[in-house]
Formats: sequence, structure tokens, C-alpha cells
Amino acid sequence: MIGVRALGIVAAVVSSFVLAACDSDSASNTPQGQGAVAGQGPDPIDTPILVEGPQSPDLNDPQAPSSPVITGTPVLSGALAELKFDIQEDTQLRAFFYSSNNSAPGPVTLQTLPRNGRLTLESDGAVFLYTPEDNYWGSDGFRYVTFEGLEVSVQIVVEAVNDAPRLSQEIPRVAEQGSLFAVTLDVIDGDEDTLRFNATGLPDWLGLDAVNGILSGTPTQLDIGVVEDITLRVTDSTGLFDELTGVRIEVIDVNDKPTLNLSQVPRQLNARESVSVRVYPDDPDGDPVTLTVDKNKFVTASAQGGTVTLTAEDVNDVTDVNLVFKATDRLGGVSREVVMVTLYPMTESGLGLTLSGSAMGRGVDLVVLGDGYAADQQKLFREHVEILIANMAEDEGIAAHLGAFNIHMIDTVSIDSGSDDNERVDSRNTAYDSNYGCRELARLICANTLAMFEASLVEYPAVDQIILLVNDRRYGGSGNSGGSVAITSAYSPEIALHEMGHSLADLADEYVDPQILESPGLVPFEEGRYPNVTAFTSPLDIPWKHWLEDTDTFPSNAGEAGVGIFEGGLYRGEGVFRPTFNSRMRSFDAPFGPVNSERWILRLYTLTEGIRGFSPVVDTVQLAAGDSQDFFVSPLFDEDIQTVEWVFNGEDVTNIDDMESFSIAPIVGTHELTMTVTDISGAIRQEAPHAGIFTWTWEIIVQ
Amino acid sequence: MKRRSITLFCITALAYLPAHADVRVLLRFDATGHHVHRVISITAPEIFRPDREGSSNGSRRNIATAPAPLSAIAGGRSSDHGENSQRFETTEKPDREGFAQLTWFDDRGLLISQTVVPDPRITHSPSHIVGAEASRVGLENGAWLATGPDAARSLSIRLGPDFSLGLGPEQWQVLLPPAE
Repeated sequence: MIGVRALGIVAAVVSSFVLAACDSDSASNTPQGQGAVAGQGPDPIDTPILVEGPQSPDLNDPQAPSSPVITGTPVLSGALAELKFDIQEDTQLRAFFYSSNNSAPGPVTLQTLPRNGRLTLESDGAVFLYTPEDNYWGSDGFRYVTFEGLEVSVQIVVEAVNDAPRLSQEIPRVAEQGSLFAVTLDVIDGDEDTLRFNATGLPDWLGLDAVNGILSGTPTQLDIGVVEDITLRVTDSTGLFDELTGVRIEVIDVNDKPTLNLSQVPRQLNARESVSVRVYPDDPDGDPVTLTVDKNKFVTASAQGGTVTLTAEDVNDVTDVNLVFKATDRLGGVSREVVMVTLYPMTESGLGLTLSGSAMGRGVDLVVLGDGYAADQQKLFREHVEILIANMAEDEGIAAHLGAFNIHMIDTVSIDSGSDDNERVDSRNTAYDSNYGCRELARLICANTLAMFEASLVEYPAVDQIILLVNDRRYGGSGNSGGSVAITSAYSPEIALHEMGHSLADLADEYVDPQILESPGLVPFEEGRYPNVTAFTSPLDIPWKHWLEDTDTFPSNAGEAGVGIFEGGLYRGEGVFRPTFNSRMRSFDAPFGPVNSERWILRLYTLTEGIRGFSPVVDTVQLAAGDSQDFFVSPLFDEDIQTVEWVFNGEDVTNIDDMESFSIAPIVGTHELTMTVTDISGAIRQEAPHAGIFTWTWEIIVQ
Repeated sequence: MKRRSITLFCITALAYLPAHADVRVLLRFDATGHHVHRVISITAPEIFRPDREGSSNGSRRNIATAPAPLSAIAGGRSSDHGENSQRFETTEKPDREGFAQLTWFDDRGLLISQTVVPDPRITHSPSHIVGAEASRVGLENGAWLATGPDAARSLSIRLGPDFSLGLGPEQWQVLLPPAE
């Protein structure tokens, strides 16, 4: 807003007083080259503001004029006159007030003030000095009334002139070693030209962006000191420039934290394994560094010089441990880095390694053996086992319950790599003597199952299932040996999962086998023997009826997705029905599907009861009055898979933080506490009770 | 997967898992029959069953468990062989195609457990995936594992016939040496 001071009628006869046309706010907000939209230019005549009554000069801004005085030629029109002047941007206009030749000079009375400049009156009152604001171009003007009563309008056209950009000297002169120094050079350029920046004398660590004018860089320890005689220059599109010379920037030293390089620290350790690794403690300041590793109950660590020796304790469970490494310098600067290390249980012989779950404890014990892995291929065997586990984890129906397995591998070195081509020629000397072409079936792999059981039982007596990975790319495998052994090419691990579908979950939605159908001793289909095949055709009678979304309309035709009733199963093409058109039991690249997965999961619960343990394992708890009792349960899975509920004397217990434990000090009398662990994964739709629910009830007698 | 870390509740420290013993019998077979190769005893986690021995104080245990296991893996776990289920074997069960029925007896000849596993003489290949090829074969020799109660002193093995695979019905009674 333009602020014009109206002090009443004051004759402008006092010389050298400045008339401030605008207050400070309006000046700073006025853009340079006002109205100078590209290709448009200022308005031809910018009418001065008309205010009521005469205006007064500002008494606080004297200025000594020096330019020649111009006499304007007015255009008269009755009692009005018009004076026009042209000046260039950032120049002054010094001119006579108009007065007629036949009149004695006298004071003028200002009616308005210029909007975009200052008006100064000289001592005799006959000359005014107009100074446009910096970089202003466009129209301006003011009005006055001569002592004769003639009203004069002074119109001033300020012509634009290109300005040189100006660099601000306000730039930081101190940079911290090790920290980013970044400064945007501040430039004033009224013309809004495209600017280019350049510099000379910059140190190596410092750079100047020629377009953005950003001076940036991170000085190192070697850059500590002063750099002088830096010249910074900004140039506009017409070549006008400004520069700062003799710029001095000092890089000061600060204490840097020491550094560690933990790339050699192993992310996996076997139980009782000890490794020494270099962690390269260093200090940019050259200070001596003290290296420590926080105490940990699972890993013993000692540091000497730049070497850390890590020794894993004996663990029963696959355990993740966070190791905290600290490096401290002379001034107390500390670097703290954390590395997560997974510890794998290992048998006493050093041959058996548990990759998932526990070495001993509740769970389905799966032992993976390798055949045809030569001494230099043991790492490959480990990779193949991990691929097998990943394969199990990829089947979405069973992946969430993978934690029910204790998965072990046993290192076995074979003399030769691969597997025999047939059972007649023992061409490769391997640990379990596997061969393709067993009983003249090209894809049937047989092996020395007695040796496999021996090796497994020595390391893991509780073994439930053995999988033999044969290090041979040829497709093949086999399953059975009392249901406990699956043999597969390591490059087709899906075969093993299929075989476990048989042995673990009794799945039977099998392919058609003409050999079986033609068997004279074929036993009739036995309803209820297998959970996922039936001879029933009614959706209300089938074992998986709880999976049908609609009992009136359901999938039954070849290729249809979803759970329904499809004919064919248990090696038969007719008369037996299965829940899905395809499944892992019919095609290795298909998932189990929801019904088969439910059977798989329920069997896992049957084998493990879904808990790792609970306490106390008694039926009756006797307490003295005032005593308390703790109750615990450890579910097999995380809380997104299993939930724990406690019911005390018929009422749900809800106000406890840790649902896996419950403490109570009941009053005298007999009480009942029930703990229930339930699968909430959604994978089990079978109506309760079923194996996915574990319940224990205590009678608590307080006397 | 529930992987415990140092910050998690360490159940092993509670030491509240009760256990009992199972016996694992490694059998081998060839043209001369099925033979005990090795017997080992394992400490198996206790199965919390409603009517297990020791639950005589009248309290209710309502635990949902599946019926007697039939799969090989389930057979590798403790089955229902509690003392209260002792009886003499008096009836013959029909042989099941493709399965071996195992009957476990104690030192008095009392039946203490029955389990079923797939017939160990039969194996099959993954050939079915690539066409209607014959995929099952009968083996002349091999090994297999049976799990039963540690009180067992003898084991009866009944194998059903599968003539298409050249397998006839077999029954073997084996004595179990003391477990290792």
C-alpha cells in the first residue's frame, strides 16, 4: 500500500527536503521493473495518486543535487498544464517547476507525490529532484499547483536499463571438517536475467554449481586450514557481472567418531563355532581407538587390536542375536554398530545342523541328507537345503505354519558328484549310493535307505521325515520307505513336498495310475480313510463341505478354480472325488490348495499339539491362602497364527499384557482356570473341536 | 515362523516340558524277510491326552486331538499306547492295501500299541506328472523305521498284498533287543 502523508497545506518553500512518495513497505514490495511482464512493458502513463489537499516534504532525507537542471515545456490547457520528462532507470531528474515568464516566482503547492521515487525540493523552491527507486522503470509522476493557481501534472517515463547482478557478501566463511558445507550464493538482479556462476581459487573439496550458484562440498581431515583469494563471480545474460574477490574460507577441525568396517563379521554362526574377523577400527583424527563388543549370553566376543573373535554358545533353537560393536576414541567419540547374527544348533559330531526350529523339542523333525555332493560341494548342499525350505515357504497354504518343523541337515561327503545312471552299474561312489533308473523306471531314484536312516538316527533320533537331495540335474525322485523317506533331485525340490503330502497329511487326491487300476488285488475305496478324497457326491456329505462357498453351485468341471467336487483321486479316474481340480498332489507346480493345506496344518497340530509347552503340567494346583501361582504357555506360532485365552471361574481374563502368562492369588476355595490356544490363521475351517485347539484346565484349591 | 531371539521369552529355561520314552526300530528287509537292525530309545515330548496315566484326580482335560495317527510321520510320534489300553490281540484286522500294520507287545505278550505305516516295500517315482506311466514298484530290499512304546519287546508286522507289484502278503514277528 502506498502511504502518502497528508500534513495539511504546507508551501514547499524549504529547500532540500525529500518528499517520500512511498513508505518503506510499499517500496520493498514494488517489483523492479514494475509492469515489466516480458514483451509488455510499463503502462504509458501511470497516473499519480490524487490526494486531498497539498502534500508536504519529508524533513529527514536531505540530498544534494548535482545534475543539470532541465526546463520542461508544458502543454497548457486552460488552468491545467502537463510536463513530461524521460529519464533512464537509476538516474535522477532535476528540473524546474513550471512558472509563466511574466510572473514572479513563488512557492508551489504539491498535490500528489510520485509513487515510485522520491521528490526533493531545492532551496529556492524552483527546482525539484526526482529520484526513482532503485531499478524501477516505468511511469511515475506527481502534481503541484503554482502560486498562480495553475495545476501542473508532471509525468516521468523511466526507461529500463539492464542492471548488473550483485553478489551478496553474506556467505559463511567457516566450514567444519567432515560436515557438508553448502551455501547458495545470494544474488540481486533486478532484471531477472539468467545467471551463470563461476569461481576461481576454490579448494578441491569445494565446488560451485554454475547454474544454481550452490557452493558445496565436504572438507576432510586433510582440508583443515584456510583458503584465501577465492573469487566468486556471477554473470547475467548480457555479460554484466559482479564478483567477490579475496573470499576466505576456513576449514576447522572437529572430533570425528571412529569407524568400523564390519563386512567380515559373519551373519551366521553354527553352535560352538569360533571365528576371528578384522573389523578395521579407525579414527579420522588419528586418535587411538578402543574396540569392544557388548556382552551377550549367546555369543562370546573378545577384541584384540582390530580383530574380534566370536564364539557361539551351544544353542538348541535357531536364534537371532544382535551383536553390538563399539569403537571409542581418545576424546570419547563412540561409534556403535549392530550386526544381527543367526545361530544354528549343531549336533555334537558337527555334522548335523538345524536350519529352522529346534535341535530337540516339539516339532516335526525333518532331516535333509545329500548324496553326490563331493567335498568341495558342501556349500552347494547347504544352498540346496535352503532352496528346499524356501520351496516349502512358497506354498501359501502351508507357509504360515512352517515353524512347526524342525529342519536339520546332515553334511555327508561323497567321493563323486552326481548319481548313478542305473542300478546295474555303480559308476559313482556316493554316500548313499543313489541311482536313477531304479527298477527300470527312468525317473525313479533309489538309494541305500538303511544308510540314510543310520545317519539320521545318529544325529537326530527323533527324525520323522528324511529327504535325500541328490546332486543331479536329471528329473527324478521317489517316496516311501515306510513313508519316512523322500528322494528327489536337488533341482526338483517340489517332489519332496509332494511326498510329504502323502506321509504327513495322508493326502490322496492323486493322479490316475493305470497300473493300480489294473491290479487284480485292488482293494475297494475306503470312505474316510483319506481326508481329501471321498465317494460322496453330495456337497453336504463330503469331508470338506466347510470349504464350499455355495452348496448349490460349486466348481466341478475340468479347469475350474476354487474348492468344489472334482471326480478322480486315489489313482482312480472315476468314482472318487477330490476338492480341487489341481493340487500339488497332482502337479508339482501347483499349490496344495486350501483343503489339503488344512489337513496338513491339522496334522502338524496333532503331532505337536500346537504348543511348545506349558506350566504347571498338573491337573490340580494347591495353594495356601495368600499365595500366588504363575501359569505359562508357549504357543508354537506367533500371535497372528495362534491366540491364547484364559478363563477363570467361567469368566474371560482380559486384563493381562502378556497372554502367554497368567498369575493369580485366589481366595480360599476351589477354582477353575482354563487355558486355550487356538489357531486363528484362517487356514482351518473345520468345526471345533479339532487339533488346532489346545485346552488345559487346572483345578486350583486354596486352603 | 517363530524364531526366538535373545529378547524373547525363552521357554527352555522354564523346563516344564514333560517327556516319556519312545522306541524307534530300524528295520531292514530283503528276500529273507524283515529284520531288526537297530533299536534306539528317544525321549519324546509328552502328548497331553485327556486320559493319560496319572490324571486320576478327577479333573477334566479337554484336549482336542486327532484320531489315532495313520501317516508315517504321525507313526513316528507317540501313539495311543497307554497302560490302560493293554489287551491281548484277539482279532485279526484285514490287511490294507499299501500299508503295514504294526502291533507292539510288551514282555508279557500284551498288546500295547498298534500303528500303521505305508508298506515299506513299495516305492514310487514322480513319473505320473509327465504322463500315465507306471510309477510304483515293489522293492526287494530296503529299510524302514517304526516307532512304538518303549515297553515293547516284540513287534508283529503285517503287510498286505499288492500282486500288481509282485508283493504277496507277509507277516513277521520280530523280537526287539534292548534299546540303545
